[in-house]
Amino acid sequence: MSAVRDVVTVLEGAGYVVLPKPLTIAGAEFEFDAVARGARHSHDLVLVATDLVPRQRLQRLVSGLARSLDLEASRRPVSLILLGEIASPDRIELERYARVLIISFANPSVTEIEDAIGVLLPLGLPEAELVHGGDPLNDVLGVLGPLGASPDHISLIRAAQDGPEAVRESLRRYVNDGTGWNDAEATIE
Amino acid sequence: MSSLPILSLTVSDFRRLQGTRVLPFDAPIVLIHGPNGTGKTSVLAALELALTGEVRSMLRHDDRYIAHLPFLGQPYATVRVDVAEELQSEAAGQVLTVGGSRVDGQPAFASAAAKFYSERCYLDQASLGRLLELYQTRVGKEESALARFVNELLGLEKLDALREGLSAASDLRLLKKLAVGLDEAAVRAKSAESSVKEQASILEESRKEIRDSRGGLLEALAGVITVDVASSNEELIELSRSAPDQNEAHVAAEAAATLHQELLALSGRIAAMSARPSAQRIEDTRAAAESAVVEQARWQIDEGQVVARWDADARVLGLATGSDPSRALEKAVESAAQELTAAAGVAAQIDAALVELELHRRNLETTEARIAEANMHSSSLVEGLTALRSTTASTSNCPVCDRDFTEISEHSLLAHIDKKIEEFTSHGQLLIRLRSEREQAAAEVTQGQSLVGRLESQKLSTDMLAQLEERRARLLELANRADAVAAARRRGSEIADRALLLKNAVEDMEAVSSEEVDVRSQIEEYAKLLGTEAVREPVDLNAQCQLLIESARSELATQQDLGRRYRATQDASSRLAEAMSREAHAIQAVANALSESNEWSARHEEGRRRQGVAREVHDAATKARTAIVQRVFTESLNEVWRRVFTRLAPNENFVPRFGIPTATKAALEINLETAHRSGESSGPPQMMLSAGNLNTAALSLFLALHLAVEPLVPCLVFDDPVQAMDEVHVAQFAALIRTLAKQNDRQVVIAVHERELFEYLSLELSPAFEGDQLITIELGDRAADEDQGVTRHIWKPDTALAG
Repeated sequence: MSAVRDVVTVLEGAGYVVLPKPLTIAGAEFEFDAVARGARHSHDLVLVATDLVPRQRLQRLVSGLARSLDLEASRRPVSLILLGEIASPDRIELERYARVLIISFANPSVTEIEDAIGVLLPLGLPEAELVHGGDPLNDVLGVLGPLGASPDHISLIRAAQDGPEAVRESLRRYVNDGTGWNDAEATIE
Repeated sequence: MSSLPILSLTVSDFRRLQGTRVLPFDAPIVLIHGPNGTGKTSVLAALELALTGEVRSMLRHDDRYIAHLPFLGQPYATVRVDVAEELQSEAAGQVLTVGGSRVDGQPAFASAAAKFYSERCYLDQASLGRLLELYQTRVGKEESALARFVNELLGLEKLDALREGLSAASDLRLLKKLAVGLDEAAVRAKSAESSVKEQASILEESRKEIRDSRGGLLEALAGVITVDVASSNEELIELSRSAPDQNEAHVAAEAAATLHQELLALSGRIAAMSARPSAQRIEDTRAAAESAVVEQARWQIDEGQVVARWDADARVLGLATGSDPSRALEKAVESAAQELTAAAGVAAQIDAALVELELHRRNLETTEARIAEANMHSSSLVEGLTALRSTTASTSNCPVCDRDFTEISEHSLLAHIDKKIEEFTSHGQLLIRLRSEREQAAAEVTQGQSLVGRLESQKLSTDMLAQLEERRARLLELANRADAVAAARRRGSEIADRALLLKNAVEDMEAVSSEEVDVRSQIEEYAKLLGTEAVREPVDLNAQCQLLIESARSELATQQDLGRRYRATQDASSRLAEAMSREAHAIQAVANALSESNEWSARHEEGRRRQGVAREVHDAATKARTAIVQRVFTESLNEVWRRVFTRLAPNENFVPRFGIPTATKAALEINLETAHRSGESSGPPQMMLSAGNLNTAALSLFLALHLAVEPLVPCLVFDDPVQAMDEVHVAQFAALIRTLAKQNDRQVVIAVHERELFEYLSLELSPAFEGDQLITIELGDRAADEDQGVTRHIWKPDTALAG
């Protein structure tokens, strides 16, 4: 049963609220290994079951639950997380009432659970600054480090704002200045 | 949720939509249902046109698609869309009219938003099946759409500008071309360095020269002055100045040389003296001279008179008794004989001339007689005939004989007379020749007379002839005595010569004696000059002179040696001074060169240091670029794609992803591949995925590209995206859309044609919280209903669950 616990943990981590057992809708009770519902912007109802439950019973449970929700005029989408193997016809039967997410590993890892029930979890998108990491020139400063970035380094880096020619000109002037070259007289001072 | 991008669409007579329809879009999710042919795709095309000004999927097929946009039979169609304020173009709220070949009016979105919508928000039905192909196709040199999206995402322009601009820093040759100051500094530094070496070498040479010339000066001074070897160079030079002047030494050497020369000359005089006779010989010579004088007197008495007499006789006869009297005598005898012979010749010539003269005289007389006769004969006849002619002028009768001349001649008488006169006249010519002969005979007589006269004048008189005979006799007598006189004369001459020779010899000897006195006094003087005592007689003058010459030569050698030493001292001193001057210059030059070298080295090093700084920046930019590429591809693009794909196809073991490109290259090569869930890389999606999952890969890539960037237009519009999906995929897709709409703030518009799917999605996408909405738009028959098929689903609290 640790796998069920892991699934519940993943669901809770994604903001789902675990409901007490047994699940009661319109006076009817439904025994699942675990049940959770979405919170905030989600109103999903998530059922967790294992393949220890006989197929016929599981189908009765799910179809009964669907009917009960209909009776209550509930529009909650229902998902069934099934731990273990399931034959294809059984699965098709179940899918008439609910989204079926199967975790077929014996002892699934958290990642395997997350992959299998991904659609129920928030879609994590990269941080804004990861995608648009601000100015990539800052990354250059980052590579140089605070001690490595002298005003000379920074001056060259800043020239990149105006394109490669500006950088080249900046480099030319920088090196020429170092050698005392005077452009105006086209000679060394 | 932030404000929704699309609020409502009004469309009139557009493609399959007849009449005007106003469709609300102001909900997080808009679900459109229409069986095929009811205008489902037309709504989304109208939306795209109204938002962006074009319909891309149609444009790809036919660039004149605008003509087909109005409803069949209508001249034009109009569309209008209301959008969120921040996305509006300046022409927001305007109606776009399309027809023919043109679109009138401005799209609702500003250009950036329009572009974003076309590329990253709207997935039309036609494109889904070939999305990967569309993404990866390159037209000409343009980047593929995928590469463009990725580059926009990477934002590497500045880094590439930095790397490109600093590329010269990694190549010294290129950098020198760019920054010529660095090249100049390198060249100058190298030149200055070699100049330092050169000047140092010159300095070393001048120091060696100082050592050498100091040694030379010490050596030279040692022969002249006492020197302290520890003296400084300057002291040595000063000391060398105090040494005797080279000129003085020169004068002394010159004097010694002169003295030596004079002594050599004196030696010559002594040698000449010794060749002359001695005193004893003077006395002998004097006696011989006196004896010769006596002998001379005796000859004068004995033979001198004979000679004198002969000479006197000779003088009487007119002979010159000078150098060779016998020859003169011989000539005189010969001359007398010739004179006598000539006189005999003249007498004979006179006789012959007289005979000749007589002959000429007779000839003259004969000629004159003939002339006289001829004269007389011819003149009288001519005169008679002439007189006769005048009387016969007119007649042919002879005046003499009176006969008629014509009887005997056919010519006239007058012609006859004229002919006779002419004949007599020619007789005159004979006379002329006779006269010429007379003149010649007369001339020959005259010549003969003249010759006889001249010969007579040459003829000697009898006295003279007698005198000449006597003279010859006397000359012959003188000749007889001539031999004896000549012998006497020779003896006298010999005696006189000897006497003169001896006299001269005596005079010479006396002169020699006086020369010796002079020489001796000179030797004494030279001895004094040389500081040696001359020894008086009878020591040999020559020996003394030789001693003095030796002494003078020694003095000369001494003076010359001194001169050489002084000169050596001066030379060594000058060399030392010059070497010290060169050393001073060289020290200054080395210092200057070092200063120059240091300056240029410093400039060059600074240039190189700056190159290093630039290279650090370049390398850091490369590292940063690599890091960004890695980060964007692995943590952003691939991660988002993986998350989306695994949601839609949880059972697929191969997950599509971007191959990580080589970051150092400026142009990124975008490759798609797959990775097994174990993490291992595998082949491209087209090879590894089933057709269904390949569609899912494309759809998920579309979503990933939308989600990986800042959502400029936060909306997603799908035209029947689930056509090829199985149930599982549809359920997953629905869940994903719900997440995107409700958790990731994307407005989602989905058009489907299957009724069942529409129903399912309506349930799945129903409002989940307070304020949440779902709009469903049903085309086809439902459009005729009062609500025109538009249903706005509002959230209602769900009471089904107790907990």
